[in-house]
Amino acid sequence: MRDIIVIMVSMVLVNNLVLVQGLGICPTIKLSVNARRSAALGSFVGIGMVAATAVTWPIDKYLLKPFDLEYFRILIFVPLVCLVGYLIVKLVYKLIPTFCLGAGCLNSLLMTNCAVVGIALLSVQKDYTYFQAVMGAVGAGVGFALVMVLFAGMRYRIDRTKGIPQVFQGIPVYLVAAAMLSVVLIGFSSVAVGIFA
Amino acid sequence: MVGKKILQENPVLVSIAGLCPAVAITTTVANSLVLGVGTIFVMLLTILLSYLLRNIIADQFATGFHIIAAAGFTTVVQLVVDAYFPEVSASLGIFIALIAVNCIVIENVGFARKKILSDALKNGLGIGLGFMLVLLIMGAIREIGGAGTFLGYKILESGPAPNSLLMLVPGGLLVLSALCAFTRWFHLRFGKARKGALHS
Repeated sequence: MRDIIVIMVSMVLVNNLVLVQGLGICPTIKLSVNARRSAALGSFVGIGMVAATAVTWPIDKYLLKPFDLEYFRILIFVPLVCLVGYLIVKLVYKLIPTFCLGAGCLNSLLMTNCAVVGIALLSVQKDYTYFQAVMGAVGAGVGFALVMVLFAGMRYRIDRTKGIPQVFQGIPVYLVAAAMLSVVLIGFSSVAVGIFA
Repeated sequence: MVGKKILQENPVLVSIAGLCPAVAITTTVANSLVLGVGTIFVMLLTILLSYLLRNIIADQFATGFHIIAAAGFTTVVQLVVDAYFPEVSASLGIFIALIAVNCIVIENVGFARKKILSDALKNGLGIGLGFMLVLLIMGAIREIGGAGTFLGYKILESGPAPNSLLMLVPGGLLVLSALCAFTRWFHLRFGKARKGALHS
């Protein structure tokens, strides 16, 4: 139980995918417009991460590793994760027809998102059991949603701030804000080491 | 056309795509070089394959086919880098695999089905070179500032101590933000002042 808690806390805060490992920065910067929508999008990505890891881990363990075919990982994982993302997109549109996001937004978020493919590849590289890998993906998804919601809040404040130089308005100042948030999350690494050591 | 794609329609600085590799692993010039060349290789070969098979693959399967083709060529890049540059491969980690889902590659490959081949290849080459240029600039700034070296050679015997923040993700975000603002300033000052073409 203890190892599960350590893995989850480290995936949410210490090894946060977006701001510490640098995966999936584009959707975070582009799509976190307001907090409610960010929470919804972040949780869809989290579901995608869990589903992707749940599908790819057994394939790696029982199909690729016994036959030394690890170099086929990219060729098998990437289309598979895209397929899982596609099914989730279809499911979301079916269950919540009012959740209109503009064409292709959810597609690019779930199908070709570095973070979703990245967590599938990362969890097979570490020697996790199936349960640990899936819980790690849950932690990564929570971390992704957390960053998107926090970032939407920062963006709300930044958009209402006067006096930002013209060339820095928009994306450049969002990137600076993301850098500040990233420094905060990196600061958690020593705290977590102290708690769980 | 290639030059226009590199500077005025730069994928990272103007279209804000492909930020993940640009921020995460441009800690050294060698990393940037390998990733940039790998991305161009994957993109051009995927465009070529997509063009050759454009009459066989139906429209609704096109995106899926592009993803599978890009994943296949990325595997080639992964194996070559593993064999010839093992230390770069270790520091790039999963980011070589993520070339296959790079937004830049997937978005630009679709052109190959509609346009003539030379246009699609020029478009891909311009986008790829623009991406690689940004990676190299960021890699140079972060390697010199963060480690005091360039391509592994020490350039400063004495001087200010290297700032290790530049080697982490926040440093990448700050350098990218500065480059983004610089591009915008450059367009406003010397370009034809087309504000609509810049990022909103």
